[in-house]
Amino acid sequence: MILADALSRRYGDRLAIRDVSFKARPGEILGFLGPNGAGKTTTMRILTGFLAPTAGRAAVADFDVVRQPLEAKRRLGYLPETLPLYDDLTAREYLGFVARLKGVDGRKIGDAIDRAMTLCGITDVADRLVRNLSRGYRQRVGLAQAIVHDPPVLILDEPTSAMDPRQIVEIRNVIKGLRGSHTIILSTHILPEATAVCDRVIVINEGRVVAVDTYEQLAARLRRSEKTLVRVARPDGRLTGRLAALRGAVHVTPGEGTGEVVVEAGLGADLREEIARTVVEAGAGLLELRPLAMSLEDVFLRLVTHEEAAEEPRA
Amino acid sequence: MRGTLVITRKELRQLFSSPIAYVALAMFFVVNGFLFYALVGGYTLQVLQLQGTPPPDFNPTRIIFTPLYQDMTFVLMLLVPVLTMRLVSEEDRARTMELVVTSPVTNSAILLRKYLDVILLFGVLLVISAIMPLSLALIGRLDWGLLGATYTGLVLLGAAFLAIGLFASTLNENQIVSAAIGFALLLMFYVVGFAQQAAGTGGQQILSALSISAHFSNLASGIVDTTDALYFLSLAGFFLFLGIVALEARKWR
Ligand SMILES: Nc1ncnc2c1ncn2[C@@H]1O[C@H](COP(=O)(O)OP(=O)(O)OP(=O)(O)O)[C@@H](O)[C@H]1O
Ligand SMILES: [Mg+2]
Repeated sequence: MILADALSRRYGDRLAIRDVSFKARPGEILGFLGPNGAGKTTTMRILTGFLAPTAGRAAVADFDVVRQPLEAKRRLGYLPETLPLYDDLTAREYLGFVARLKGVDGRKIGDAIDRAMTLCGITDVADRLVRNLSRGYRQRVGLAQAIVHDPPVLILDEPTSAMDPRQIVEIRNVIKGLRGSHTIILSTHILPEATAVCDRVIVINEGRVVAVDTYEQLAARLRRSEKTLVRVARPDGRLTGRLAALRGAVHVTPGEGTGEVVVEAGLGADLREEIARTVVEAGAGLLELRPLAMSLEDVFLRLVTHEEAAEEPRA
Repeated sequence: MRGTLVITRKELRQLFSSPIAYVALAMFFVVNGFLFYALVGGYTLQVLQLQGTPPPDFNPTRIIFTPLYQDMTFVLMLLVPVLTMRLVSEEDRARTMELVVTSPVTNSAILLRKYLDVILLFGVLLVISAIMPLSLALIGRLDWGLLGATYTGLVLLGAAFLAIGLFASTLNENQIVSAAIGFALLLMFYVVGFAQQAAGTGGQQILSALSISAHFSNLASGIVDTTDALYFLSLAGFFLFLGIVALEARKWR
């Protein structure tokens, strides 16, 4: 339903994203998880046709966003990071304007507005000027705008920012309610948000996709092991065997470069001393030895890993 | 059509939420009203001096309205950038352009939509300004042919001015800067005519062909020439095209 194929985007000399590829399957909610400046907004802007990619290809509902922009945009609802609201209109007028802009048939506009307002819980404020709404309600009007034409694909850039915990739960339920009938990508830098709503998570950091998986598997992959990279001058099969025989070693695999071996140990085990001794005794010529910090782990460390307000509910 | 009107209402609402728009419109009517008053006064004096025996080519419409509408073009040079400055700049500032651009409409449709809206508003202004000749029509005979030519000229001139202002609005998200750019562009097209004397014969022709004032004087003196009409229409077309290119170019920034 949504395809990103080797997307790159340059701002001047800076590469904001490079080689970003992923697919969203029909009906799933895909989380786009990454710290500030990771490139989430940039990627979403390319998917919506707001920005052109420097390289690569993006498609929405099988329509290329650069070559068939109107077809792609017709099937797309988009909540930008900064809410695109007209302060001088009421919520209802605003949604009417958007519905027309999105090409909703004139006779169905009234129903479309009512449906979107009911889903997002803004019926009460329908006739108030958008200017006078609270930040959380403005966010809801923004979300209503994205779904008013009932598009099959939704791209939501931080849909729950600036909401209070109760509202966050409500909006997440709205989004979950759209699962199945809609394909959704939502970005967040809050780990529990991805856990709470998404079927699968794309972790992005410094413009690169670091992992794509379900949250449970990502977490499992993170916790499973401690990895150490060894680089030697004269690698041979016997060294691998000796390393694998070390106490605590779980797995020994060849690394990416020549002469590299990755030793995987149980969580908390530090095998560096033993590894060094083994390599030297084998006469393989130790060149390098360092713990392998997984970039996924780095990313998770930089994420907001808890929701302060949500964790301290006031009685 | 209903959709058109609603969008127009939104644009109007935005326009009139800014005090600058009121000031500009008030300025338009006050200045024109004053010019009208002064010209009618001058005309009355002339009639008194003639003592009831006007020469055969005596034309009240020409004496009052030709200079009035000549001066009005100056006022429009100031007013039009104020009418157009928000059209794109304000949407950029409020970040609503991201919604508009990601909707299933082309950039040319977006820009033409805004252009038609502001032309409509401009048309309303012209209709209101017609109160001046109409009020005189109650007490005397007017040269409707001359007035028709002048209003045709104003519509054409307005179409070109508004396209230039709209283009300026695509360049910057600060509306005041957009208004200034629009005014500078208009001024440039206005004053190229003044440089005629300085240029050689060849240059003189080119400069007067580019000049807004030269083309409008023709229309304001009752001559409807296709060359003048084509001039204003191509000016409008060219700047609309530039505006569309400017919107398209944003994707690649
Ligand atoms: N218009 C721009 N011009 C120049 N650099 C930009 C522009 N937009 C984004 N960047 C840079 O590109 C990188 C990615 O930005 P992006 O907004 O995509 O990140 P993000 O993941 O959405 O971050 P956040 O969580 O803060 O919203 C950042 O380093 C940012 O500074
Ligand atoms: Mg962002």
